[in-house]
Amino acid sequence: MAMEPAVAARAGQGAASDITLLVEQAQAGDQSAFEALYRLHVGRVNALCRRMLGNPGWAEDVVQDAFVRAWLMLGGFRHESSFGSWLYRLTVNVALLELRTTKRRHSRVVTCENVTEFEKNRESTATPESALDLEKAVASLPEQARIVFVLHEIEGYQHEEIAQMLGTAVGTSKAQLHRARQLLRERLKR
Amino acid sequence: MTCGKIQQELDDFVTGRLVPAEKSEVERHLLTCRECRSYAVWIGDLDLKAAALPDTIEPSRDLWPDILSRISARPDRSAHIIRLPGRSDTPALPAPKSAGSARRGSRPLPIAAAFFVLIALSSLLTLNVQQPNEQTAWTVTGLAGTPMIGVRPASEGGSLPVGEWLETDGASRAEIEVANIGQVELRPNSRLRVLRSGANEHRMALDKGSMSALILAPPRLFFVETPSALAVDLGCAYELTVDSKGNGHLAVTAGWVALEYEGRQSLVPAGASCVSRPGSGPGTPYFTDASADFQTALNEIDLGFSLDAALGELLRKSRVRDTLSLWHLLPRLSAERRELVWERLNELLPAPEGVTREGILGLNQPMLDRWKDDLEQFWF
Repeated sequence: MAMEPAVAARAGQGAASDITLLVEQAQAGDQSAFEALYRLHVGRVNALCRRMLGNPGWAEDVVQDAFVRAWLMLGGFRHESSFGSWLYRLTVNVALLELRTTKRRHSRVVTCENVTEFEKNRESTATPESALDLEKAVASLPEQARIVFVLHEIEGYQHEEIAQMLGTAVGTSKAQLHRARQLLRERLKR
Repeated sequence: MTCGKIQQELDDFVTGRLVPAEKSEVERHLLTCRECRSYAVWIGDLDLKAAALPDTIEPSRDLWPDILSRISARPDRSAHIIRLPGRSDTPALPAPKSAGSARRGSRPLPIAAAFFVLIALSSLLTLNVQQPNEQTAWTVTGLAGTPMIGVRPASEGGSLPVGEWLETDGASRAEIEVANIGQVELRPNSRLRVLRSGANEHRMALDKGSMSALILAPPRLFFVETPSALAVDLGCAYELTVDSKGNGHLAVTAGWVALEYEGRQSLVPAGASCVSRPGSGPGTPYFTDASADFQTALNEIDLGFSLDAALGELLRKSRVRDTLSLWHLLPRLSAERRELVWERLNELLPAPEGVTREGILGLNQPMLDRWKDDLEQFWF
């Protein structure tokens, strides 16, 4: 994953003012500025996609889609929220679109390959055993329950926001969260 | 409401979103339903685990070359015609509606859900529940094997009078209903004794082994004595272990616990642990997701080993969340070392207005408390 030195230096900039500058440069068409933004945010976007989709390989496809969408839509970003919040919200929408339009071309359950991916990640990030167990248990949840759990419990969205994103009722979001918690309680006890 | 409905409403209950009638119904239900109380605490524990998941997971390969080729092939920026999922009349991304949309770090503290349930119930207990009589016996239920009360086996629903020992062997466990304020589970190879049970104080001693406690009572009503410290319930759920040398280990899963010994106090929030040792009392509390190097250095400082080297390592490895440990260290170190801690603390989270370097180095208690009030918002 080698980076051009100039991009690496720019990606090393993490302060809000630096990110604002990178966004403005990317809005003006500067692809290396956009690459720096990609480097700063790809880990977070990938984590979000992996948890929402429950499949590491599929998640990386959607990460690409999300950044391409972000590039195309960057002109409409008005700094009303942080770039990160805007990008993550966009990523959620891209992942939901993918889930709606893709007819089960990817398994929704954790396969041996998926577990291996989680194990690899654990080795690389020193994720504790309990966190690894939780990641695996979340990945094994039914699709709707998993999405609501990730958006509410990990990403911090409110039920009203989740219901709007999913096009469902607030009560449905609450019911799916309850279902997710019950399933996790059973699975984490084992 | 059924248990399922109650459990579904817990989030709204703890965030004050229920109408008064629903709130009352949930409160009444929680007071009488052990399963739902246990579920509330479990949610708090799950929130902690979810909050501890890594923020980032790097992809297995560099995705940028593919992204670059795609954006280079589509240089046009037609944001105005792109439709994202959701309502069809929503052309652009809605601005985040809540701080939570900025996600995890700024999420409105659901991890404290169980804690707030406990606090809410504590108020109820204070106001509405009949206070237990002096010298109330506690009820024991065997969960496995044959727990012993004194020299007799604890039968189903047996009572544990004040002054009596409850002991488990390697194959037994027991649950104790502590008057009307909560439950204690005594794990295998453990021994405890009720010291006092009355309107103003419930006190027991854990002589050895492990126990967990879920207490629904106002702060400072339930106490556990160990050979190395006194655990004071501040509205919480926790695990406490005493080893064969009398060392204690406290892990808090919801709310707060204070560990006290001869004027020394450690405040331990959910997600944090603290070790206590006979003769020296509670050590410095720390979050269990702190780095291994940080925890090792902290242990060395508590034991008085290689103080300067350990302190240097500790300060280098400290995160914002670790200000829990740094704040506790301030009065426990020499003036020279305290200054180093002050500098790191101030670097991580600058002291609020009215809190001065001189005041902190001079251990001005109101200033220490003022700073703690600010730091506490990151101790979750």
